Amino acid sequence: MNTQEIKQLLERYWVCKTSLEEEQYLFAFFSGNELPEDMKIYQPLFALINRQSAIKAPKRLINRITEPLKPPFYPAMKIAASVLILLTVGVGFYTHYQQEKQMDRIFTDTCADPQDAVKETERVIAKVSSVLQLIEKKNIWNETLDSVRQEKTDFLHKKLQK
Amino acid sequence: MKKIVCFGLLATLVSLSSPAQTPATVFLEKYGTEDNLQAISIGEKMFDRIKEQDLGSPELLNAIEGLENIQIIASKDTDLSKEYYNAACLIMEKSKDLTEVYSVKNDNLQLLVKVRETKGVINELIIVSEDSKGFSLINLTGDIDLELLAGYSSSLNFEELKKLPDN
Repeated sequence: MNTQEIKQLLERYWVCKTSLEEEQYLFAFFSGNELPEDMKIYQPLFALINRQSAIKAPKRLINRITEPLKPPFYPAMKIAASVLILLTVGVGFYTHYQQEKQMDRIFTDTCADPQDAVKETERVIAKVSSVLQLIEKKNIWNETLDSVRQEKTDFLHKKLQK
Repeated sequence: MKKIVCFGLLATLVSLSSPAQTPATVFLEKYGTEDNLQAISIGEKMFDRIKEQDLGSPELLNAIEGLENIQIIASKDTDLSKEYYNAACLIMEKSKDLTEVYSVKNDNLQLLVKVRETKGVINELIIVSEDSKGFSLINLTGDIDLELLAGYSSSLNFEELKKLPDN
């Protein structure tokens, strides 16, 4: 590259229109010793820019800049959220256990012997059967269940229309 | 990953904290401690044992097919049976997803039958009655085949029903 071309490159450099390769070429050119007299004034500037770019920021600083922004008290919030989840799960398990225990307590006569369970089941199913026979006799089942199904169909139909 | 873990925990929690509440359990939460009430529960494990040991008649084994639980609450006397009946009816009234199938009210008998139906399958049947023998609440859960249950007994085993007029 001749002096004229360097000057043109420099003009473009001032207006930030040079490519990285062209900039590297300029830096290499101004780091040399044999410079035209009218260009020597730029040498300290390029030397300074070169020195500045050589300075590396500490890794910690780079990490702090590049890591995603976290709200203040982030670690405390993480701990609080974990404690809250554990507490909620704990309360859930405890409530479930208490409810089971209460059900066990109130269903005190729950059959433990299969023979007793059979007798009780026979008695209950016979009663249920009698009630169902009566309802069947009165032909209510189909009417009622049809109306339930119709209600559900209408509801879904309305929902779909909306 | 964290989100999946949290979601899993919450799902577990929700399923644990809301165990299946039936009208029978709701009723017992209120009256469970009273002496003149008898509460019996026969669960799926007991049904399995009955089936495994081949106890009961084939008709009974057939009738309990698909049942998960039978809960029975009965009063030992008639003192508070009307109050119990009204309380049970009120609980069932609050369960909006229950459909009334049949009800009768006369001097000898008060009877209310409701079902819960999901996707064309009846999964809960509740029969509440109050008569000269007292109060009773029968709560069946599971896949309920009404025809199978109705066909179990050839004769009416519920004395008060015999007194009902045909129409």
